[in-house]
Amino acid sequence: MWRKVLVGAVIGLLGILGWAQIPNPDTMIVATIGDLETLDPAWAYDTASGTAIFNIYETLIFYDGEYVDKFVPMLATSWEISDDGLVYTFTIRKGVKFHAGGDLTPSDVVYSLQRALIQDRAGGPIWMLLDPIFAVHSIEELAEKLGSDEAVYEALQKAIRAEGDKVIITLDHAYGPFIQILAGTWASIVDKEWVIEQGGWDGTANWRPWHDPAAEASELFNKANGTGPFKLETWVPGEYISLVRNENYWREPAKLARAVIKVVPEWGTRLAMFQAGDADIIAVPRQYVAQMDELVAQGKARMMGPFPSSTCQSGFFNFYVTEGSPFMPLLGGEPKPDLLSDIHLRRAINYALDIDTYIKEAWLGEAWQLPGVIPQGRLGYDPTQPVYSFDMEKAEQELRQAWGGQLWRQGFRLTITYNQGNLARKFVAEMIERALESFNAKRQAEGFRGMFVIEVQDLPWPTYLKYMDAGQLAVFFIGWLEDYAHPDNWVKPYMHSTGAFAMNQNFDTVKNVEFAPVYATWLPAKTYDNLQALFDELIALASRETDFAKAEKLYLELNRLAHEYAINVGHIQLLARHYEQLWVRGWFYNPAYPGEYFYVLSKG
Amino acid sequence: MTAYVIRRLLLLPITLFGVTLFVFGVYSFLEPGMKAALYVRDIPKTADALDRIIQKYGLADPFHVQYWRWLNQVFRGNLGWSKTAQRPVLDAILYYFPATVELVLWAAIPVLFIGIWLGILSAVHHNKPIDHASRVFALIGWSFPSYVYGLLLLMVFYAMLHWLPPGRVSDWVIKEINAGTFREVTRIYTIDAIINGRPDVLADVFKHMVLPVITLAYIQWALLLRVTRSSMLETLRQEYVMTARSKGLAERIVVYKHAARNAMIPVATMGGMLLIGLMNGAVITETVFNYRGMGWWAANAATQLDIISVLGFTLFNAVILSLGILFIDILYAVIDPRIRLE
Repeated sequence: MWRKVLVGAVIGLLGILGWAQIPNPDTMIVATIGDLETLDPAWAYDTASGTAIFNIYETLIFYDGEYVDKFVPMLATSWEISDDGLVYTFTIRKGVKFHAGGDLTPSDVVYSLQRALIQDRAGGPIWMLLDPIFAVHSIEELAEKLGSDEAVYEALQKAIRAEGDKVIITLDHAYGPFIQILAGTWASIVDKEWVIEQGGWDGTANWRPWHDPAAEASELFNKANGTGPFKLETWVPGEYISLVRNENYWREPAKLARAVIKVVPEWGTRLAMFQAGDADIIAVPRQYVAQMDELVAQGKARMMGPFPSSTCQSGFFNFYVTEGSPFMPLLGGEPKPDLLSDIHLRRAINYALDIDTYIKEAWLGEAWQLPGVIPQGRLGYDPTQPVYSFDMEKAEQELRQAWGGQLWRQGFRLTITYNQGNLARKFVAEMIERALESFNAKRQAEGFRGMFVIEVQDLPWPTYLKYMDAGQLAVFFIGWLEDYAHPDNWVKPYMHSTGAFAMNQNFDTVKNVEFAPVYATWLPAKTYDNLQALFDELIALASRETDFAKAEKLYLELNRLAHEYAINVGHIQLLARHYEQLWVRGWFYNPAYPGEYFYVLSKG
Repeated sequence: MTAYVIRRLLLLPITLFGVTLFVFGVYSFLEPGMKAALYVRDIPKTADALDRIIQKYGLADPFHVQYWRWLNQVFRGNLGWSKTAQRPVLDAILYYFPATVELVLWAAIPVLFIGIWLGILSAVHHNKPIDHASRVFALIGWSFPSYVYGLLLLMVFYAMLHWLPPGRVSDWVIKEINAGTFREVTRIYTIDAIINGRPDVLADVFKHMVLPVITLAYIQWALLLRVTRSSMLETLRQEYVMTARSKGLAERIVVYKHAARNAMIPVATMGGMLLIGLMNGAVITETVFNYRGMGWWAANAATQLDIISVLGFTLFNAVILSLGILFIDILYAVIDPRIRLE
């Protein structure tokens, strides 16, 4: 008996000791899925690169804790915005040193932003800076506009300049989200002299050789010298990146001595690392949440959330499918490229989608439906605005009205596409297919022969993007991850003629649109040539509006119009969860962060 | 035999040319827009993003122009940039290949020795408990996906018992490598540990190697066991074996000296193929155990349609396979004097 008690006590004690012992107490280990693409802040446009960069480099201003619309000074001690919203003046912090020993100066700030603008790699993030500063989407477009590379250089000197301890940025037009854009990793501040030593742009008018480099051709591809709380120790591509504490940091040095981000694409391996205590934080794909919840229930892990994330999933209607498309819609057996320009059909599809079931089944309940296009947490989001709820009666009413009743009588064919392997998108597409085709029995009973045929088609990602880019998809499901935490980054891609999705949706097919403001009542009622013209004007007004209250009304107006015109179907905001070891301290959620901000974290 | 070897080596460049032409040919079926989409991780944010990428990398150029551009660089020793490995393709090969060689060689030892030994034992004790046990063992190896039991091993011996971790070495070894206190001479860490005189590193490498080696070896083990068993059974029924027995030779000599040598002819061919099988099997094993080798790289590059990497390792694999098959042919002639290579 006593032997049993003794053995039990020893085992218990060992267990307690084992549990109490925190592995690598001053090192935070994150096991994630994907590797970074580069360490060059001007080139990077993925969250994995962003995570490393925002721990090494710093921007003029930064998000205040959990807030995405409040900012704290970082490398700028203060900033002022002129009344017309065109001139931003930043006072640069003194006494800040780069990791390699150089002093931060206003000249470094000017150089960093100018370097980012001239680099402007294809498919990169710099369009966000080019748009407000020069009203162009690429530096080449600016060169064409101004006529020469020298003229571009001169324009750069005028737009971003240093005066004493200040840096002044002059915009082409007032732009509300500019401050958010300056908080992104693409606006990180580098050490001018050090970058030039590494073979970077020398700051002269001969900028072409440094324009649009391949990732590996950038001088900062695998080197880093920032002012941030951590210094680059090692990056072994495909394996891990390790950062060490910057002991000469201008704020209090970080609590952690080291941070390591390991690339572990296989979920089982990541889970095993977490269970063994070799990873403090791991990336948990949605389908594995239940496994982690089991650990949480056993008191072996902590879950934080769910939080409204900065990612939405939506179905997009193309109002005019480009000729030659293999997905051309048919009405009564005849090609009908503008089939979806009929609002009744779009509304019918929205009513026919059982969105609650979609969220419950495909997203395990970790999402919510949005009115309009702006997600929760951004200006212009209003939960009291209406949404399309599942209602087959309303769907039928709308279908009977579509194309003056022709659609109900003659039937139609429509292809819904999604990218191969995305099961949630497949699920929602098939739900719509089943719901709309269920009307065929009733139609046949009424004596109509043509069928409602909905085809669900998956496409490999490159093919999908190619068809989307060519405006050849009729209905397509895809997701959007916010670039900057501002409603402009939602209304633009979803509604503006140059937006990533809207440019493939041909809203200009809807002509003579009458607009009567509901929220922005100071605007006159007006008839626009087409729907796109209305959207473009309101988006421009909203982004240039310096009065916060007025900007909010404009975004509410845009959100209302997105719903009224039913430009999307199944627009939902995903929720995010965070799982960590019980010994992790200090974590909080900020949807604008690309990943873990190690400065606020510790173990204990 | 020398003439045969030289002839085979001379054929190698033609084989390589054919292989690359084939891979590039398949790639050419993708339209420029699709190829450009491989360069963007997310949705293109501006209207001209894909066009700029097409122009930059010459993705709309005719097939022969793109192929010649690549070939021209290969002749200059530049195999291109691997987006998957984030380093030049040649560097990636030199970086990942030693890791896989180390894994495969360690896996080959139990596969060859235990597989052959169990196969012989099974044949000698035909239809006896030891034979049945071996066959069940082989059957499990065949039918149990290595992906599943790799993960099971990881869960038990790493997550639960904390004995055998994934990866190639522990963090403290990586720190030493970064600090320069441990020199990477061959990148085969078991050899490097001996060169550096570091038994602690050697122990750490072994600790990381146990589970991947077992996972990788099991299927091939089962395969070799079955081939050896049937070859041995057939040989033991030959007249010369019966003659040897009737002469009164000890059973051990009959089995191991007379029968086993002849039974090894198909096994030798199989053994060569096993090495190739082990290289292929490394794809799954390396993924499960987060072991960065050629298999991991190949799988990732292929799924991301990283064509430059795919071409690079295809070229490299073709060289290795051609040389491997040549080696098997020579080995075959050495084991069986009746075979002459001409």
